[in-house]
Amino acid sequence: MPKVVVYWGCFAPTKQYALELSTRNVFEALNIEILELENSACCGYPYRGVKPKLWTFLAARIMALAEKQGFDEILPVCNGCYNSLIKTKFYLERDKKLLEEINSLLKEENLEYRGKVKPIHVIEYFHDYFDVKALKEKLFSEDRKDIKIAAHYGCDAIRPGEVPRFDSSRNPQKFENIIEALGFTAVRDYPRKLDCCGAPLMAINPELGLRVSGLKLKNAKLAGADLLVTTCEYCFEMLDSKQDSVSRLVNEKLEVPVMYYQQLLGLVLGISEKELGLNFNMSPIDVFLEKFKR
Amino acid sequence: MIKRFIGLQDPNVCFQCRRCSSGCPVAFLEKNYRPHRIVAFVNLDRIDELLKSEVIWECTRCYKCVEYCPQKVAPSDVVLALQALAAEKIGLPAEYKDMIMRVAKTGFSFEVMQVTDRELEFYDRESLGLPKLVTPSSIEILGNIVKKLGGIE
Repeated sequence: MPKVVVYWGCFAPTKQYALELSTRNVFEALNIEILELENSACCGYPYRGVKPKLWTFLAARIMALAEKQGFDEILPVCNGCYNSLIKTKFYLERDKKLLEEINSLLKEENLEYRGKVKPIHVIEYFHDYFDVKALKEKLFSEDRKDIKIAAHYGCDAIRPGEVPRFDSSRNPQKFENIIEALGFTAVRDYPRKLDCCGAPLMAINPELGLRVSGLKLKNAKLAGADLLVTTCEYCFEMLDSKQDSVSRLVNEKLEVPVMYYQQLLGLVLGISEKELGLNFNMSPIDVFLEKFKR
Repeated sequence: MIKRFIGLQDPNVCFQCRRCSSGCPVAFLEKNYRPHRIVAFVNLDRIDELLKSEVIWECTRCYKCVEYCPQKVAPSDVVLALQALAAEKIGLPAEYKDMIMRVAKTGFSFEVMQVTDRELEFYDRESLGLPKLVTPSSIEILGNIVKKLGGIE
């Protein structure tokens, strides 16, 4: 039985339960065992500006925990966590002094960062590690080319390109590929496809954060898709959970249906809406669901 | 002084082409926010003015400017470095202080919440059948390091 080490981060397990629910149930249906990271905590992402050393320490700690438990790869479900881990890995490879300092702190918990763990993005997992296309063929489900789906990657999945990652920072295509692998038509481009959801501003400047989200959603609407999908719970919080507040703030009816990719995959696998946490989606997904069931 | 926080490239090589500002979603929405001006202020050593200004808290850290910059200056990283300096010299914003304290106490940045679904029904981890979120067993040691690195006593 294949296994995967999932790192849940902070925001999914404290609020965005639909991501954890859908991810757990999809992996169960795929017969992939989820291994938990013991003593897991925050990756430090919110503090990469104000307290860079705290950020580096917390991110290195997550990878050191994975190393200690003998894992070679780790799958963060959150874009922020993913970028925290790969950026920290990148910087620690280049800064031996910082590495020493971080390791002397990690030693207090009997941990050591050796840089052996590879963080994998969720899109990367379903593109390069798990064969979604083969799965689709096994399911004998018909293609639904009449359904158009647009992808929101989220900044931390793709930028900065200087830090090596799973796809191009300027013209990523893997998300669209795994949407098409499920039999749907992917909208390969739309205005501001690679723009931000606004979430990183929410701690300190929420109004501006919501306006950035409004800019993204207004343009995503131009994609003319039946659904917008993301894998990141911060992006989802802005694009789905807060879509109503965004609509009111920008004084425009947005009505963009949003789902996690894991929820979409779960629907294709025939998992129930409740087990995918679809009752938590606040954007108008009903029209999409009706079309999907037809 | 600011350079010790910046990884990629010295901001001095910026020639003010404004590509960063042309791609920035915040600059599109806020006429006072222009990444190229922030970089110019740094190069003119007018850092104290920036530290007191709201602009350093308006970056959404999306790194589009970094992709746009032909000189690899990384305006986003410059802003992050300014945030670190501001936290050090003026003080850590209360919002972050609360979150760091929570990490020191529980290991996580947020409190476990009860959430409502579309039907306005309440749910928590337990009622959804999700495993309990566990605070690290080494939280005392971890908490002390977090407080120290977070500059909180």
